[in-house]
Amino acid sequence: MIQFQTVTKIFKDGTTAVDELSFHIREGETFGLIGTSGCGKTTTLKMINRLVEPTSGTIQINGSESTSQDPEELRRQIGYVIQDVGLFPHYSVQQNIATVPKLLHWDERRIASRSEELLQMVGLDPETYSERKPQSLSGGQQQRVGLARALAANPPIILMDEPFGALDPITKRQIRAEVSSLFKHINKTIVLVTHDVFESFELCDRLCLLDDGKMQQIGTPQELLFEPANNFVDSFFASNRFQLELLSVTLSDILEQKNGEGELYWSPPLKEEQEDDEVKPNRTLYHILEEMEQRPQENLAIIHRVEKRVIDSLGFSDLLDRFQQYKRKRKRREQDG
Amino acid sequence: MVDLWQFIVSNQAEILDQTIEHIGLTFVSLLIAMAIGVPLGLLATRLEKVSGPVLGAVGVIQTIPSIALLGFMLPLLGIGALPAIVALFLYALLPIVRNTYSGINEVETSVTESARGMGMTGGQILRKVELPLATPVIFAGIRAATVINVGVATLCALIGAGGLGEFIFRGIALNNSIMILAGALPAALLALGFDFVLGLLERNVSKFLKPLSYGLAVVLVFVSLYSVSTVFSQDQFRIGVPPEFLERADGYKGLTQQYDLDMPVVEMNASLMYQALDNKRVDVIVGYSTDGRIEAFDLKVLKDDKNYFPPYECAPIVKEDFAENYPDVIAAINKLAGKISTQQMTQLNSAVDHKGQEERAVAKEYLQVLDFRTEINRQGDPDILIGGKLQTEQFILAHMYRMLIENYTSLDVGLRSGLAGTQIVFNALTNNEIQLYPEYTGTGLHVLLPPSKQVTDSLGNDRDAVYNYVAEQSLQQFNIRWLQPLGFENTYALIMRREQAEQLGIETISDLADYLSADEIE
Repeated sequence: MIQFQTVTKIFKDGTTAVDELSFHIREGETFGLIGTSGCGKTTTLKMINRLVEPTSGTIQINGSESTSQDPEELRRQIGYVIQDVGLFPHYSVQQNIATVPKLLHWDERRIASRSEELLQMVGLDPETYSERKPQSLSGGQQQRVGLARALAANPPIILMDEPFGALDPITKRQIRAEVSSLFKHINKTIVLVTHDVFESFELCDRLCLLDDGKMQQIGTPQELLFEPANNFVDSFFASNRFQLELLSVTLSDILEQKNGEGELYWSPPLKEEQEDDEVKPNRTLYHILEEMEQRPQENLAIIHRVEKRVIDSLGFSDLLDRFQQYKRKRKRREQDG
Repeated sequence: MVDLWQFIVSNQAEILDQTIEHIGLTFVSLLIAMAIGVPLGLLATRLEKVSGPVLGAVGVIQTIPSIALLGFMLPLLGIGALPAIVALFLYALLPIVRNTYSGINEVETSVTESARGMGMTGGQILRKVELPLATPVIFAGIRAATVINVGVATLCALIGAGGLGEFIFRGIALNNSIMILAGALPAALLALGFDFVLGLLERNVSKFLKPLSYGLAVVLVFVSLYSVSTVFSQDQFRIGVPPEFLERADGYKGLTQQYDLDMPVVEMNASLMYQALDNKRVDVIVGYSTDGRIEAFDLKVLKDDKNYFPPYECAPIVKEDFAENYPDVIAAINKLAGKISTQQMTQLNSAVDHKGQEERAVAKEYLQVLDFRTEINRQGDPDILIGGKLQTEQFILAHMYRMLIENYTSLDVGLRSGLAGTQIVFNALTNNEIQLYPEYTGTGLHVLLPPSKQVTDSLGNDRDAVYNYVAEQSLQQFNIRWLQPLGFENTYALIMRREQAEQLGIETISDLADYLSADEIE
């Protein structure tokens, strides 16, 4: 979908922000650019929609070189969300969302129905919020509108630069969770820049860790964590290692069960099963343990999908044991490989 | 209050004309400043290299005193509406350029960045995002510029551009506060009114901006064009007259009656007149016969063949009780009596006006030639203050008297020269704010005393008779003593460019009147 080929950016003052970067972002994935501040992640992001032009190298989007297109045309096909949101203060919420559709000359009715749909999608009531000015919204609401605005013209690619950076921890958590589930529904290629490793682990399918403009490693969160390419990658995650490991390992990883064998439920779930109680195998250990803390009396039950009988029952410490087993096994595999 | 009301009612036509001229000057300059200032401010936001010099330059212009800026305009553009509009335009530039610059720069970078990121072109960002967001700030700049311009436009009367300043300066020259108010009050009301209206607009700027700005612009262009065209469309023979002369008893009205003169009058500051004549902005001026610039600019004084102007012998005047208390000062002053001829005075003036020497140096040199002591120069608190009008000659004389008093008595002398208008200097003397200044007998007769017409007719052109009458009456009426005359006369005089006067064969004021009436018949 997006292909970087030995892309270098040297700024006028002589600093090399990005140094011979090559990678490929696949269609439909959420791709994270992470690293310390000043590592070149934002510059890399801005080169995708040509807010920054590379000094050398090429960037292909959907197979065609980005420089072959008019930059404005290109940007209208790529959603863009930034930390400070940047809503137009003199426009209403609805007008803000309508910005790109207007540039693309959509007709009024289509714009109106689209913005209503988007407001609902980001969890804001259209009737209450359409005509409001951005100043009257909270930070979280503004970021939701910013997201709706980026999605307005249904662009296949969305670039996000620290989208939750300016939010307080509670709002951040809530919006991050909503966005995470939203991303799963809308099937877009998303490029996310963040300095928050937890955020990147939670949201991204793959990560690219940059340092001083150079790519250090590219891969899934688990790969970066368990198979660091060099000392920098290893030390980058060192201070939060345990938490990150829990975040990167899913239930299906530690259960090693074949797909389709059983369904997972909080117990006692047998009668009156609830949607909420179903535990998806791709949930991370971190979230499961977190929830378990709030349900101390309940074990995690594994129920046979067809026969509806309990195959196994796991408690807090069982899960941690299995997690340790999984880690040991991984390490062995790594040494063998 | 009643006087003011009566004055306004009886001069309402003139006040209305001046008000329209005033609005015209203000808005023509403002429109030009907007047309140039807003793009200039935008340019500064786009090119950081330009922003420093541009903002610096308009800032420096603002620091030039407005009267000096008008003075700079004079040799370049002469007198009338054009230099006034240029000067006002320059003043209006700073608030507009600066507010455009900061208005656009204050738009948050996150907003412009997201606009760019969404695929707006540079033009779209400017039109849809930056300008709408900066409008309140830009508008505040325009509002400030308007109020500044209404104020500065009063000064434009000094260079013959008309406006409400005419009454103000005439009033200052004549010490007539009613007349000053008749100009100042409408000017203040205009400033307040515009500020109020623009303030209303500012608050609702987004709602009314389009329809109102178009309507306003159209109306203003018409008003401006009308008023400016009335000021511009004068290519006839014109006479430049200082405000004081317009209202004096021995002034312009009498002159036109005596000689049957008829030509358009341009009211202007006395010290700017000669320049305006030299630059052919006017063809005749009412000046002073000893002015140094007559020699400097090669001008010709027309002969007063019908003896309209009374003699204007120059003599220092003091209060009677002062003369009694300080006989040694009087003795020192009288050392100069009869020592300066009209020709000598003209040369002294020319040394300052033309050759650019200092008044003090010129005065000192002349006293040395006359063999007076000039070494002592006291710097303490002054015991005596010498006054003077806003004329080179009065500055030179004040320096001479200072040196004489300091060298021949034990007193310290300070100077208060450059006071605008006879009434102001004279009032300063009677109020003991100054102790001495050189006055002219003709001025004393017509401005200070004004006797009946029979008396002035009987005195006629007799120098001694006028001096004696004025001295006697001043003592009686004001307790003022006229000391011995200096020897020269500085009369009001009609002055033309020598070249043009000779070309047209004009020697006397009657010749001028004949030439003008002949011109009319053609």
